[in-house]
Amino acid sequence: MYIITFKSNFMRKFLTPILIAASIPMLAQAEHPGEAVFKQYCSACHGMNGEGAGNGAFPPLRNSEWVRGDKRIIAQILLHGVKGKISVYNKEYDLHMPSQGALSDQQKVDVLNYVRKTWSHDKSDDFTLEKLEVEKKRSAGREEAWEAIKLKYLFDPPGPLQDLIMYEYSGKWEQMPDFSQLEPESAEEESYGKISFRNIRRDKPFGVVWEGVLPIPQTGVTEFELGSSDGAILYINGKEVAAQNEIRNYNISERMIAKVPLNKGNHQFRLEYFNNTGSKTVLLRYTAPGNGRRLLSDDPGRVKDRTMPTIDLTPAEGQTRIYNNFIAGNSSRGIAIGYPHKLNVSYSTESCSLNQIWRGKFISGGLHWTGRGQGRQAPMSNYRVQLTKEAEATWFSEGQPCEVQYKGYRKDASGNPTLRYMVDGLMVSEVLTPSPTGFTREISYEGTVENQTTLLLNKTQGEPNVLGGKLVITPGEGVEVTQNQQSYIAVIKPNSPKTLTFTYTWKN
Amino acid sequence: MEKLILSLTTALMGLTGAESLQEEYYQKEIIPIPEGEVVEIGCLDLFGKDQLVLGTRRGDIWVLSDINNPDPKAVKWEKVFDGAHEPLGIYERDGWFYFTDRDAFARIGDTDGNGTYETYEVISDQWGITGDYHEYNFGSKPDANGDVWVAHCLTGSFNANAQWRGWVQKISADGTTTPIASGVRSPGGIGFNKAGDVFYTDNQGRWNGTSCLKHAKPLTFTGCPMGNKFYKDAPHMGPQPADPKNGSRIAAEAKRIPEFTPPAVQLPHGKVGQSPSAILTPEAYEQLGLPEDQLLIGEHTHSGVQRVFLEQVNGVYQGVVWKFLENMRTGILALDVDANGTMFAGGSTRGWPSMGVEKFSLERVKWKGVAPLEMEKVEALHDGFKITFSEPVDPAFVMGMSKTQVRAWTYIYQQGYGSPEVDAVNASITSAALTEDDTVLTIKLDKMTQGHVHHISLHDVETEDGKPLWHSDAYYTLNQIPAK
Repeated sequence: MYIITFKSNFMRKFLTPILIAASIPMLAQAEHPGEAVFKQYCSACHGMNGEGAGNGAFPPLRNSEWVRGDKRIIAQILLHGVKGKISVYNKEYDLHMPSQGALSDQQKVDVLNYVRKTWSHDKSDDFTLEKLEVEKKRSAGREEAWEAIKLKYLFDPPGPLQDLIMYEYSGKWEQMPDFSQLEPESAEEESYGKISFRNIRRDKPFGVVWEGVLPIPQTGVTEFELGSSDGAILYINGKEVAAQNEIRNYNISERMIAKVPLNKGNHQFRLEYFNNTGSKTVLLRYTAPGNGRRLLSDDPGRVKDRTMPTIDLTPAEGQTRIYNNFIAGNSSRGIAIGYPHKLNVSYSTESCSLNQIWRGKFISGGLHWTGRGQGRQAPMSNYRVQLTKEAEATWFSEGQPCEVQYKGYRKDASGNPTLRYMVDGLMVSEVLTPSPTGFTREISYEGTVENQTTLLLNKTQGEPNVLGGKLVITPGEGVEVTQNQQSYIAVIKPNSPKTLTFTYTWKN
Repeated sequence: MEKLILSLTTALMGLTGAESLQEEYYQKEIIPIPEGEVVEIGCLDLFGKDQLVLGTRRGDIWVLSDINNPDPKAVKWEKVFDGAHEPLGIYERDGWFYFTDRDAFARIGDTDGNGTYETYEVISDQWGITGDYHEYNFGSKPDANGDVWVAHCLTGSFNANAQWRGWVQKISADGTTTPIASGVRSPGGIGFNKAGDVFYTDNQGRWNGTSCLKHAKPLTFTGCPMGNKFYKDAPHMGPQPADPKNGSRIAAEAKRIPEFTPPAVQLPHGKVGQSPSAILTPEAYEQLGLPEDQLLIGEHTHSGVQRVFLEQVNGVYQGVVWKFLENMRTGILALDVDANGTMFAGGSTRGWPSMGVEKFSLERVKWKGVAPLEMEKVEALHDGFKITFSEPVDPAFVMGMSKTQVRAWTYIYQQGYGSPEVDAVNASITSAALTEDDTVLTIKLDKMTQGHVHHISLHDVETEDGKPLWHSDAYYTLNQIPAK
């Protein structure tokens, strides 16, 4: 809040109307009702762009895991404030954000939705007045500001399962497979004590087995509830207790309920699960004697916000950046290079092949630099051509793929790399130079080619010299090209120029 | 905040006397990370005069200068490279930085002398990767011959789905890469003991009942058989060893399988840690306040550093582990010690939780100059153990030892994930004697169990001046019982 001191009645008469007049256009221009609230009430500390004001003294909202997390936590912060040590985007603060009593309920809801939309790319349903009421009731007795750790565990408390191991399997099933006959792709210890998909990132059908230990506080009958999509089977002490073993949608009213007599102490817990298609859900609850009903899984009623943050690695103007990681469409060993003029490529360093080109933004590091970083990251633009897939060869001699060995690169001052690799025993260097209309590709041989070698430039589906329908390839002077079974290839002979130049021009 | 996390995640340790004593002997300082940067440290090396190079889990390489400046804020940071994948081993040599990365063992250099590291060269890429996030490769610094040792984690930490996963390989300066030992599951670091033998840490999981320190003895099998399918591609290794029997014990299988080098030191799960990482035998041990011939292990989950003493009995490495440092601010993945005995340790907690709550951190640890009372070594006898203290102790505690026991146990050697402590033995201490001017305690047991971890827990031990024993729990892995 800005505090203005009025020095005289004269000032008060004139300044106040000016201030109000100045603020009206601001309100009129705001696109989201929360934006004005943010600018007036929040930006002083959190910065006009959510970057955190005071040169790092106050926490940002941009990149903040609190903004990307459970919306109800933001509501609780607006209602009561937060104090003490809090870690935001890897920096620790020790501050006190007061409760936002100045905001009406509607303003709280608006600014919450604005902040989420702006800094978490949240595509889920908006927070509402009704949901705010739920939060007010939840923390009705609270007089003090929240401590960060209590907030974190308020909506995601650790579960009771001990020694929890999670095994992931790939496969497409209609019923639960016999996991004892399958090999898991990974096995991880999970520390949050309940069934959760938070560390699973899969877009193909899969199966999971969780194993752990469930402590029961009192001898008697424990009631288990199981609901899932697709199938799940619960085992306690090796015996099947509840099952929904089919491809299905999750519906809480269809959950299985099982009553199991158990003594006080530790019991073996096992949950098998498979997902054939669609969303992945498990609801697992238990009511042990002496306890109320408790969750043994994440609460499926919540839309868990697990959107991967976008970390845009598009380089600064004039600069080139190399991203060494698993790229969709590339081989496991490979790199992506982001050049000026919106040119981006991926190279397989297994086959020493330029295999993918896209125009626009480069790539996001968010997938690999969040959590365990599983998966392959796709380019950040859909304006893409794919020449070859993964480690498919592009260098051939006498009909066979050449023996290739990637050696590395040397960068110029702007970061543009000249790649170096061996092709059939000869050192080759390759460099791309982008321009507003496309790029040139120069391939230079150290030494003379003895056996005729070909380099695949296009696998035609239209005009032979138009790669993916988007890039026109023009061979440079002295470069021989030919077509061979719908492949457009450069032919390199002993008397070919030492440097072969190709010009790639975007069609539109 | 940390205490609350401890109680909620059912950790076994609470704040003990050992943690509060730490501040008497060691001083920890945070080296602040530059504003806005994400520096998830995976490896580091001290070099030159007051310089440090580190690699991060985002593929960046940073060089730090003036690292011993009394004001940690004055340390200079420079990012020199951002084209690595996830380096987990790094060192400086002749102006080049060598690092073990996901896809290659490579180096960067400034060949045109203009101050930037524009040259990137692949030295060896002789192993397979499938694109699985867990296929980590940990690399050592060069050994006395200039060779680098690399341990390849299993795919998904579970299977060997690409060439040489589950193996240790040796890479020479010209890039020649030789698979040299099998049996790796999920390493956390690789390094050398004082004699120059290669050791790596392997995490609890499949075929590892608990995390352990393994001797990567060349031409042998070190415990996890998932990568043994590649013996056919390594004729110099000899025939593929017999598969260990699922559900057996390491001691039994070590007798049955001649190629099997058993883990040198078992690191009891939950008791000293849960996820061991970097290995270092510090040269400047005196300035670090340590006795001679000690090996340090980074600990990720418990955010600390452990200390190990090794010996060889009947040609087999075995030894003892104690806790050393605790309350580090993040999960420790990398550590090094300079010539002045200053330790630099750092890591990250991304993906796997640690007790230290910082997402990533670099700390500097210095010995304050006051010698703690510690067990320097524990050596096995045919009928007991010989414990050497760092200074003379008050003999008063010895009388009570005859009533105490040494609890011993082992782990199931199985293809499932980890193991509880099994086959418990409570050995009685039949005699205890303090000799060598009260610095050596010899205890005799009524039973020595081959293959078991022996937990020696000393109570009420202090010097005549009342200085208490800092770490009173020692865990000795008795692979071999010495002959009479």
